[in-house]
Amino acid sequence: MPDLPRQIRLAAGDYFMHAQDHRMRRIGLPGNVCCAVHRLGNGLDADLLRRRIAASPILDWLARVRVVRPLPLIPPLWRTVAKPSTIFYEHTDHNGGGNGPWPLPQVVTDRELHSGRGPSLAFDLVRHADGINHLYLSWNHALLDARGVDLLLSHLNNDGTAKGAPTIENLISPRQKGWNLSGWWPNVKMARGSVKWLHESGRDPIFTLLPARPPAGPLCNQYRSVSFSQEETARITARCQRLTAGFRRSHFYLAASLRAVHAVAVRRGNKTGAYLIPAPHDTRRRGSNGPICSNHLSILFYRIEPQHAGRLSDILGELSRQMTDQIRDRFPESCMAALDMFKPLPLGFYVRHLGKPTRGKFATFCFSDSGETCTGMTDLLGGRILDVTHLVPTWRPPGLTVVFLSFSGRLSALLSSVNDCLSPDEVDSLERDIRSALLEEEVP
Amino acid sequence: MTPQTTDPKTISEQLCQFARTNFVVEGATFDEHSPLAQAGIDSFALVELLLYCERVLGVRVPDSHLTGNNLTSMATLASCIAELARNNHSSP
Repeated sequence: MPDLPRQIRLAAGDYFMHAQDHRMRRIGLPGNVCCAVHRLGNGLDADLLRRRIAASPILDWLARVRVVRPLPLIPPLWRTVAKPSTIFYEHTDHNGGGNGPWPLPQVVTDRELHSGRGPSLAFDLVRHADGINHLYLSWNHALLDARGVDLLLSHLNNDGTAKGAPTIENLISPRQKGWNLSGWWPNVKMARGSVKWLHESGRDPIFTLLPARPPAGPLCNQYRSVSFSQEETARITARCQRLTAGFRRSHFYLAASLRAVHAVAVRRGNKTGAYLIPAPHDTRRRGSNGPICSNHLSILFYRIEPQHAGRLSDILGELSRQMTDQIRDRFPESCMAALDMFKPLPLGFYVRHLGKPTRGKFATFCFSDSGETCTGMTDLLGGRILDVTHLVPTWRPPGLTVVFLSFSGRLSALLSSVNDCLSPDEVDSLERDIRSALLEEEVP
Repeated sequence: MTPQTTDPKTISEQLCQFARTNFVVEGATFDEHSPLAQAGIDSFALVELLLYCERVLGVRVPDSHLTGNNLTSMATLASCIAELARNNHSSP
């Protein structure tokens, strides 16, 4: 078994997520903490789960690692502390049944998962009276991304005999090992392109969901899960095949989301405000077993003018053109180089710097397509996986995040919003419009 | 830019090599007949592949040619690119 390093470099995406965590807590939101909710059938071996978590060197390392800045104005890093942390909690629910993922039980929402103080992840197993179990895997987004969580569960589910399951060799990217300043030295030339692009694309007017006034009451994240049956998912896939040859699935989902947000914007009187949407892309190779730790992403930014946001075909055309232009100009690499370059900045300056091109608006909404989750897994330690939902908190700004994911041939979309940015009626309308955009043909 | 070759076999070998270096996970079997969607070619990778065609092969593939049939495998994509090259559909 290889020795795990005591400290590694913080990926550019990790510091970005850490900064968002800082900003969310400052305005009263619970932090950049995600929760993967697995609804499991009878047969789950909770003792085995506890033993696997306790025996896993990967989870031991992940539970002990913290974001540390060795000196002011030096890039931060992940460093392990000696103290082992408890990360598995078991609860019994004598009354309720195992229903939907939201609202989260109080015990899960109260869990403090801070990447600087740690631990940054926790497992809560709730055993319901009807035999259904809910496994809540909560994690600070600075530590892991959605694919990393998937790999972690696949590692836990493996008894050591299965071929191709993630192992300790897959925990850390080789590029993050060997922390020293030479590994950070900024590539200013590389970063310049994206900074210039963001300043041009962030020009006014940009439509924002944020209210003009400061929040009157306490802020909280609200979640709406839009689920599609297997039959509906098959229809959506067939439409995607027709519209985008099947290769631009994420664009199809993004176009549907944008058309729905555009409808809200029009009702709010928006005529000229453009929509700015960052869309992350997983940089791991498809089917690879790692790395598990850190956020391995590159980002594309789309700016869609309102006159192009009313029809799916127009939006798809714009997305395709902008994606090709950005990859041709090496924008994703440039954007990550810029984020890497700003890592030495203290969190407050870093956040302010990120908001500069858009004068603090950051984006209209965030979009992500996590793809297939729990690939190849039908059960988790004996319990059949009935349903999976990833609850991803939204940042403020922008106040809305749309995340698509599919499990076992069923697509779902999570609408995560901050209570003062979207009213319940507007969330209803988003759900309705996304469903119709994905399932129904557009009138020519 | 003048297209470098019009031979589908040569083009498909070059495309496969590019995919193995950039997208296909180490140890996975991948050849010119492997389905693109199962080999880790998503929208991002597809754009990179098309830009590689422009840069190295000198052929620009228009959106109208990005059909399900042409994007079945590297072999079908290579045939489409060879056809475009013969019709002098060069990149600017």
